[in-house]
Amino acid sequence: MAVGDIGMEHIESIVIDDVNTYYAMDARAVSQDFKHLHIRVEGRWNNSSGATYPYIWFGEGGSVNSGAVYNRGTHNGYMNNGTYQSAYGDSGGSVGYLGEGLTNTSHGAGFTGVIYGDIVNYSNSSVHSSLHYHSWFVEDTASTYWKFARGWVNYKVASALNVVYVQATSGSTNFQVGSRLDIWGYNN
Amino acid sequence: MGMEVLKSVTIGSGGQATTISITGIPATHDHLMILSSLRTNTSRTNYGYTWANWRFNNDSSSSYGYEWGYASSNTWAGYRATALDSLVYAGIACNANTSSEAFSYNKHYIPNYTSTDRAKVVLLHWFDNANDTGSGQGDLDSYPPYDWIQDGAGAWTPSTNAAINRIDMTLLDGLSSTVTIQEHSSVVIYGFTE
Repeated sequence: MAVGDIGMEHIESIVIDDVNTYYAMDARAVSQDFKHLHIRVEGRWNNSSGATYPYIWFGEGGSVNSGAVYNRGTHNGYMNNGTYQSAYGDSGGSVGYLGEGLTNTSHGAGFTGVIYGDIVNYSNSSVHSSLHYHSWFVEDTASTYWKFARGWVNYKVASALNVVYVQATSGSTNFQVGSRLDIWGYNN
Repeated sequence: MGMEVLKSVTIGSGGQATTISITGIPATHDHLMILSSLRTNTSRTNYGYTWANWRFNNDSSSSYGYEWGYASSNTWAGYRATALDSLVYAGIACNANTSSEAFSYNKHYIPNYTSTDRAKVVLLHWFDNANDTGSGQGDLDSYPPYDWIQDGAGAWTPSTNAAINRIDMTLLDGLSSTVTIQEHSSVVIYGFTE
């Protein structure tokens, strides 16, 4: 990375335009011109069963890797209730979990979840890539506290990945219109 | 103005002794973002990480403090300390207990890094990568080894406030033993202006 380069460039934007169609947002030819990626997922599901965490996969050559190569760790809890927090994780999953940030139709109307993070070393074929994320789950119903999550998805493949694939945990759940996946590259 | 790369360090073949010194940081922007991805050669039993301690402008006076919260091994807690001679636990590195391709992730923000009328605050987020293949490794809910997620803030309050023009990142095994920082480790400093 050269001193004086632009530090961050917007390179992908996938925006949902049909609520009846899309249960996934994917970028399958991510530029290899950078060292790290910054991603932001903003979304809401079209039914009440959509999980707050979407699935995420990576891959090479435009193909999704669903092998047992995902290490997962999450720490989450409620912002105004310090007594409830949870930390969990495991090794060798076949999919990554992305935050606890997305809302569904059971949550307050107009509240859209946001998850953001960085995919480190994604273009370096000598080391593993790893996603580190933060998310805030915010809504207005009295019965639900606002929730945070922070965690990782470690992709145990030493490769230059070019696929970022975000999907509902159920095929019967779709993204609502306006949900989006944005990717920035850290210039290299 | 967009974000601009001010300094970039990538450790080459053979590694480098225990400190990364970044000097000559220009006072050209309002704020800094620092992204580091680190690995060392140490192999402490049950630990997959090494701490990174920071100093600004080569100041070793008792002018650093921190307060942060972490999650590890199905526990969560917070700590604070003041009057330290460096910003300890400012970052983390994977070590030899993790697979050779595993690197940590640290992201820091330093707002108003050029100001001379205030102390400096460092916002920190770091994760050990625990990107491993062994049983229990990569978990937050089982150990050994320990895995970490941490967020918090640090402060540098020298006797005379100054623009930050140098950052030394010293990686230590157990806060005392020197290490070798491994190839592919990297630190990039970005500047940005409101």
